[in-house]
Amino acid sequence: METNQLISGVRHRLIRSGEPTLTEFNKITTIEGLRSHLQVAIELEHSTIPPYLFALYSIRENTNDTSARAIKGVVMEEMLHMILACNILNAVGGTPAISHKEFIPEYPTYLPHSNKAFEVNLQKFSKPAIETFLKIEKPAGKDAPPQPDRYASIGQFYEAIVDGLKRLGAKGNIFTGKRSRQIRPEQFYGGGGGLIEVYDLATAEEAISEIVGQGEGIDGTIEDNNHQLFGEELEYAHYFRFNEIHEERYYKPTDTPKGGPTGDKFPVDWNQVHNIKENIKMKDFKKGTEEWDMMYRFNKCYCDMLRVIHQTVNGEREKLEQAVMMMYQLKYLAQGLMNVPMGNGLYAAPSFEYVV
Amino acid sequence: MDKTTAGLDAFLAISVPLTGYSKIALVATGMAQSYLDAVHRVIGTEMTDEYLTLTARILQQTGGKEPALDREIRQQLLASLKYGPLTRNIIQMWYWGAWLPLPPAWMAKYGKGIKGNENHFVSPEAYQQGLIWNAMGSHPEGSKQPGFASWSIAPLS
Repeated sequence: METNQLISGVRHRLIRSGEPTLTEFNKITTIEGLRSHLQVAIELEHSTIPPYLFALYSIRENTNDTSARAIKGVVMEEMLHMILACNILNAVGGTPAISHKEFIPEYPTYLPHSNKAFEVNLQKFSKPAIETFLKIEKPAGKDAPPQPDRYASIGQFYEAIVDGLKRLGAKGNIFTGKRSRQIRPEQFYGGGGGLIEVYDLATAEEAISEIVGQGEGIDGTIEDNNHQLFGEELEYAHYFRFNEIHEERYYKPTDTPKGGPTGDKFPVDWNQVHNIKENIKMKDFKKGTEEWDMMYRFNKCYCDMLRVIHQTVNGEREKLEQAVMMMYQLKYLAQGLMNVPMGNGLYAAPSFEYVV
Repeated sequence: MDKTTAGLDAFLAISVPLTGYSKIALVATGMAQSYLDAVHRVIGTEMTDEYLTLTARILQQTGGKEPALDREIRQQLLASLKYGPLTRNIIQMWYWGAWLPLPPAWMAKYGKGIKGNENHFVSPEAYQQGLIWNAMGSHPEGSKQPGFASWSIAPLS
């Protein structure tokens, strides 16, 4: 696929519209440093998926359609971001590692490489859960300069990566990865947004602006970049989609981030939610019981899926179809768990733990 | 424990040997209460209670152990003119998610004045939650989709 220079150029300006917030401390100066940052990027994108899925699954069937659709849209884009980060890492000669024990955070957790300003829990669909999601997707603050290797927002973190790609690229070709390791758009059937094959600086920047633009919006607007660049149906960046749920009000196209949503009422029924246990673990059940087995079955399917995705991004890209099957399976297993009472008024839920 | 829960526990307890699925697998469908409600709705509270008292006694007398349990279910439930069709209906409800009409002979003898004995899905969810799909390693058509091109890959489990 030929890169559209114009689009890349426009996207480039969009993500760097503010003053640079990087300091000398967190500059990426070696190819190893770049690769390890990209590995963290993959972990970062992944770490948001279990909390989003946990909240999404907790919504009772056929209720809260608008909220469920919003969260589902975001979570599918996070999956896309994770694969985009894998593509960039593969492009610079790295090898994504996504099936080892440490890859899955233990919830509650801080976001990887964050400034530890807030914890992320596995929480049912609720106002506190949406508040956490808003913090995760918070646009980069100009007033919060990043500390050494600790970033105040996902945007700042990616800014450091773009900076590193440019600095290292200026010294020589860093895009040495095999093209056959790239996941291509045709493999990413039905996913959210556009998958980008990465093989040079322009495509790498394009991939990063897809990630940052969807997550945090373009400075000063509530829209994500798909809409502005391609005239797609209006779709708001993650932060603003979550804020509509939080404020129970739709944004109007003329609304600004500062002013908040002023459109029609956004219907939310906070009671139509399974009463599932927050940050549940397998050890909440006695080993050998049917309940424990079911918790295990979910985690086994989840870890098997990560193993298949690991193979997918390490040269066996045709395996993605198999991973997709497992994703559906996960949903049905999670829905089953949420019907299982724990005896204290609470119900079981997926725990997203590493098992073999 | 109130009566509804007691009825549900008894209903689940006999549903385990009747379906061959574990209690938690049945609970996980989220359909147990709806199926019990369907039984109540069609045959009435009195006959439902009578049926669940009998099934509880079978489970107790056999200690839930094979081969005694299998034998007693066959003799006291499946071979019974009164409880056989009912038992088969409960099994089919778990597998199909649908209530199948009790046979005319049964209706003539035990079902005077019964309403709602038509063939119907207990609810839209019941169609999705039928055990039959899991049993045959498939999925309910038009629902619970397994993913594009999944038909080209051998079943995962």
